[in-house]
Amino acid sequence: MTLGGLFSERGVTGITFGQSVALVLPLGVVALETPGSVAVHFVSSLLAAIVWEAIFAVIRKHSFSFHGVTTALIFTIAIPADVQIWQVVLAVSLGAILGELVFGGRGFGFLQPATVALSLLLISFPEIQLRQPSQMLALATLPGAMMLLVLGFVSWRVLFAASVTVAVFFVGAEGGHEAMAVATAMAFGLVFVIGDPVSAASTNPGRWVFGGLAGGVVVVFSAGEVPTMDAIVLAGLIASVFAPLIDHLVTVIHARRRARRHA
Amino acid sequence: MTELLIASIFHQNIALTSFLGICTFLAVSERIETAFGLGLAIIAVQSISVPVNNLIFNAFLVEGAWTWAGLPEVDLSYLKLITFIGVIAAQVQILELMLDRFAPALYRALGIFLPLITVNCAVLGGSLFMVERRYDFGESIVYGFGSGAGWALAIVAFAAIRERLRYSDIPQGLQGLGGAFLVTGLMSLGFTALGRISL
Repeated sequence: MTLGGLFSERGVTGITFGQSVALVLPLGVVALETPGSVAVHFVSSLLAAIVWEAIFAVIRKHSFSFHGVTTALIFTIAIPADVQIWQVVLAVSLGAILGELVFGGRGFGFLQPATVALSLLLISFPEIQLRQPSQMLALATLPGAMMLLVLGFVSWRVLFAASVTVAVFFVGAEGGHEAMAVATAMAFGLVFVIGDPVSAASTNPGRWVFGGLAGGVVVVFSAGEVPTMDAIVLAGLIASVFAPLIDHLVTVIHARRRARRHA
Repeated sequence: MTELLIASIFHQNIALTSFLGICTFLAVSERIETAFGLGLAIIAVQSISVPVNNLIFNAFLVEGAWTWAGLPEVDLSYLKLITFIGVIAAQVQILELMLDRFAPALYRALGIFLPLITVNCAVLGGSLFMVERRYDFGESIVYGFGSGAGWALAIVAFAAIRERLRYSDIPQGLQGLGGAFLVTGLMSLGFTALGRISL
């Protein structure tokens, strides 16, 4: 399969490849900001994710989706410089296995492994706080985000609904924060954690609700401060927990409406 | 009050952070509609039993409740378990009669788990937390509703996830209850971790 073939294919590998390309620029920015730690973090998380994926692929006879690459990239970009290697390996291993591989691989679960790994890191080591995105990182997220939007690998409805919810509360409120500061804090997490296509809702009306829910949880648990990466990751996780329910409700409402129309 | 409501639904969610009422949680989450019905029943029981237990506890059981009768050192709070269970059991009886009359399909779907709400530890736990955290009457109304709603939300979301995971490829040994435990753990991850940043 050629690279072009991978890219045009809207399958699992195509999405993984697209997301990974979109994450290269943010990784570069983070590598410039904290040289040294990023390379170590990336190599250790990549090895952990890929090794587990390979083990599952061999034992359970799955095809190899390479999604471990995306997981490792998101994880590396979000964690601070002082996380130990064993913490990285532990969190990524558990995140990849419990969040994805045990359900049958990318697309079969209901959560994004990087989000699970980050949440596990947060809950297991209370002293760790995720990296607060710099303006450079937010800017570096933009080209990738545009690409994913054009390719349809991230839903504009989710991004739009979440952004509007957060903006209304933080920027619109009296004495609100500067729009730039909030946008900087949100950009990376919005595109790669909340916007992940597998863990988000998959019906169009559901995507609006999902984005609004994620944004709402960010607002509630930031307590009026500029949102932290921690809050965004956990909001993404909680919203994904409710995504199947949102989709189910949308389907039920749709079915009822149809039944009434054709009664 | 709003904080208490948010806390009891999210980072103090009685199912996903205290792991109370888990046996019903796992057993009645095969179908979303049934889970929703049970969730409503729990909300109803919890919103009534916590405030009622609060009134009874403060009026008769707490130390000093009998001061007006000239008995200031009487402390009946050791009776709280049996009293709370009595209140809950009476209420579940009434609920059962009502459901049998007005929603017979749901009544049959819930089966044995409806009377078992009496011994659902989430319901008793709600009342015991109310005593332990010294909620006043107003707070106990909010907490009763919030903890019931949190439990209901958790089970409905859980049922939806299980329904979606029917199309997943879980190893044979983990299919069914094993996978359900895994999913419960993953759900609780987000809820528990929220407690960290909301402090």
